[in-house]
This record gives sequence, structure tokens and C-alpha cells, in this order.
Amino acid sequence: MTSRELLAGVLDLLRRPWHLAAALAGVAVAVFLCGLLALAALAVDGAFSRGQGQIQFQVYWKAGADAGLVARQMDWMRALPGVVEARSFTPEQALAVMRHSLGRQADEALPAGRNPLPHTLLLGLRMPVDDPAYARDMYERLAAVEGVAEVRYNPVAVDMAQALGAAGRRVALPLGAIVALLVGLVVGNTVRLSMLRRREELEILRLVGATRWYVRLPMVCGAGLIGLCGASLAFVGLKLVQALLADVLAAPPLWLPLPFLPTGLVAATIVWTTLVAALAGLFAAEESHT
Amino acid sequence: MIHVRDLGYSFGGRPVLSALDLSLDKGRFAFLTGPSGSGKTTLLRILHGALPVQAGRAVVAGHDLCAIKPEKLHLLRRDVSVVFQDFKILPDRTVAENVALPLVVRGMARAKLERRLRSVLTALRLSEAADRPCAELAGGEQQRVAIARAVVAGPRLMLADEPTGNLDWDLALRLLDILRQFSAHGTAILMATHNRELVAAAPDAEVIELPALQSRPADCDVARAAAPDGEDEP
Repeated sequence: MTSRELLAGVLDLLRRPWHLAAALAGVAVAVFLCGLLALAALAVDGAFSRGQGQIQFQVYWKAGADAGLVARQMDWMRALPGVVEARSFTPEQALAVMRHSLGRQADEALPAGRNPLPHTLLLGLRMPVDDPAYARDMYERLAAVEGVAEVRYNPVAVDMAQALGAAGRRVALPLGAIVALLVGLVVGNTVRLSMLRRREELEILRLVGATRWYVRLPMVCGAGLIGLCGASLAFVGLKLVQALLADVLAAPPLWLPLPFLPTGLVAATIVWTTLVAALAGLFAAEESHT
Repeated sequence: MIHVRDLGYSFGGRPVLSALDLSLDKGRFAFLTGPSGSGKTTLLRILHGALPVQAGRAVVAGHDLCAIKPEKLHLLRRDVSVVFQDFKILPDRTVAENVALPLVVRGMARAKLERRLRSVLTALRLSEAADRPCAELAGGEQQRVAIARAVVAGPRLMLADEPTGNLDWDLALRLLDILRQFSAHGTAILMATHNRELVAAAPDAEVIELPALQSRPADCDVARAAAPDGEDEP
């Protein structure tokens, strides 16, 4: 079979635009709904881990530390892997916060004309599930920085973060598998039904002496193309939805971040959908055998 | 071209063909006749590989149907073309596209394909309709498209299953004339029909008569037990 016939076979899809549109819509809706589910799970996970799946380190510098050096060291700490949140305070800012907290008692409690508070950095880090020594190692890295007087963290929070991470991973895998299966079933059946409409055409091709692969290949390619285009359409739709909702959710009172799905997941879903659709095309070609 | 010995076929235990012997040589034209239920369509389906040989032997255009593998069926179908009563053409495609299908699936070069297509369309008086979708054609024209498709690749044998069943008498005669012309050029043709007048119109053609199995004493009990009265041929 030459590429000319293959192309002609794929272009045959365009002979029935309504059937093609229905198949594309079926695939796109299935992938879109599952993508929406993943997007929601990602948003919930983000919100959840922001509060409970992370550990917070408090880093205090020695009093009178050089402000320029401290700023550079803070930048280095912000760039550490796993940092999801960082809030820094100069001694003046820390004093203002403390005065605000103490209210009327501030004048009595805080000595006038002298600021005893050091440069401070609050670092929120996402806990890796599979590294129980992570918190201890991070503590030692931060404490070893020149000029740092003290580093604090809560070991109970570490245990909770790791437990949550492990639970999340245990749930994510089967859930992902179920969603992949669901997409596979819906896409496969949609494409198969669409391709079976060409049953008579395939029967005629066989009658006039077409080889098995002459019949199969355009079906496989056409079905794969439907899968590829349907999944791509679904992700374009998801990106639009994410862009529309991100601003709304990121505003008070929700403060919910809504990132788009990871590129790897998007690519894997498109590849999976294309493969399932191509297989469905092959099955349809075999089913139409007389 | 066709050598059939002791061929038998049954559907769900009900015999449709039994101990059939049949021969047809190159370039011969033969009618396949017999009452409804005598197995004409079943025989044609066996001869182009749509049904397996259950008993006996059948060699068609050099292909042993008892030994042919499914992945090699296309080789048989390139030597044996079929014309159906319901035409089996693609209504949304043009006449030229339908007729060219056997050449396209063989991967024939465009120039050669065009030459062959033009000559067949001219022979069947379809040149002017070449670019029209088949859905717009009358029944007689659609049947001519089916015949053009069956002869365009120069098959060694053509099987025709009641090709005149949907045509009026004049068109049926004209179609018979066309088929006999192709037969004269070397293509063996086996045409199933129950139209006695059509058979009489070609007195020099061979006639192969299939008996109704129900009338055979030996098969009577089996047939009666397996199928209700008046059941159509499968």
C-alpha cells in the first residue's frame, strides 16, 4: 500500500463529516470530563497540601548580620527544591509585626531605641513522601549557613506531611488507572461504533481483492487521528476552562491556586487516547469481516 | 476455471448443497439455475471464498478453496469477481471511483488505471456518468457500474448472483449481452438466475441446474427436521 492510498483512506473520514464530528465530540467530551476531574483533584490537592502536606522551617540569623549577605542567603534558600512558600522579615518588619501583635503592651515589653529581633525567614517546603530523612537533612543544610543563629521546625508536622503524601500516592495510582480505563472504554467504543459505519465499504474493498492490511491500515490511521484530534480538542477546552477559573478561584475568600495539568500528563493522555482509538479502529476492521 | 467435486454445505445441520459436481472452462458462459432454496447463492459465496468448503473439493481459478488461508483470500478475489443483485456499490462515490476500486487496491499506476477505466466505462456506456455519484443513477445504470467494476481488472472468472433481478426485461437482455461479450474475451462467467426466459434467450450457454434438496428422498427427513416449510435459502 502506498502513502497515497493511505492518505486517501484517512481522507475517507471526511466523506461523512457528521459521523466524524460525532466521533470527535464523543472522544473530546470523554477526555474533557476526565481532564476536568484531574484538574479538580489537582486544585484540591494544592489547597490541601498548602495547609497540611508541607513543613515550615523558621530560620533566624544572628543579630547584626550583614543585610546584603542575608538577602543573598535568603534568595538561595528560596531556590531550594520543594519550596512552596517563603516569607522574609527584616528586623524592622519583625518588630512592626510584634508591636502589632502585642498592642498596648508593646511599649512595656519592647525596649525603646533597640531592636533585639534578627532577620527571619519562614520557609514552607513540600515533603517528599519517600524520604523520611528529608526534614532532618534540610534542617542541617539551613543551620549550616553562615550567620544563621537558629533553625526551628515541628517534627509532628513532618510525620503528618509524610503520611498525607503516602496516602495521596496510594489513592492517586488506582484512581489514575480507573480514569485511564474509563477514557479507554469510552473512546474505544465511540471510535469503534463510528468506524463500523464503514462496514459495507470495507466489505466491498475485500470483495474487489484488497489485502487485509489495505483495509486495516486506513481504519487504524483514521481512528488514531480521531483519537489524537479529539484529545487535543479536549485539552484546548480544558486550558480555556482553567484560564477562566484560575482568576476567580485565586481571589478571596477561596485563595485556591488552579494550575493547569502537568505537560507529561497531557502528553500521556493524548498518546493513550490515540493508541486506544487506533486499536478500536483495528477491532472495527476485524469485526466488519464477512 | 471451476472444478467442484462432491461439494456439500449445510447451515445449522440443514443441508443446502449435497454431493455437487460442477465444471466450467475458461471463456465459457453458464447459467446457474434452480428453485429458491436450491443453494445458488450459497454456491457462489463458496466459490469466492465468503463461505468455507465444508465437504468435497473446490478449485477455482487455480485456487484450492479447501486449503486457502484467510490472509490469501485477496488473491482469489483478484481472479474471481462478483456481481450482486443489490449491486454493492458505494452510493456516495462517483461512477469512476466505484469502477476503479479493484485497480486502486492493486496499486495500479495512475496512467494505466485511467486508460483501463476509460475503456471499460466506454464499453459499458458509462463515460458520461463517470463523475456522477452512484446514488443519482437509475437501477440499470447502477448494475452496469457493478459489472464494470467486476470486469475492469480482467478477472479469470465472474460470478453473478441474480444480476438482472432488479431490472426490467429490456435492461436484463442488454446486460446479458454485455456479460456474454466479456465471456467471449476469455472471462468465464457463472450467472445465477431463476429467470427461465433469460436462460432461453441464450440458447448456446451452458445451464447448470441445482436441484432442491428437499425433493431428494435421502435428504427429506433431515431437511424437514431442521427447517420449517417455506424457509428461504440462507
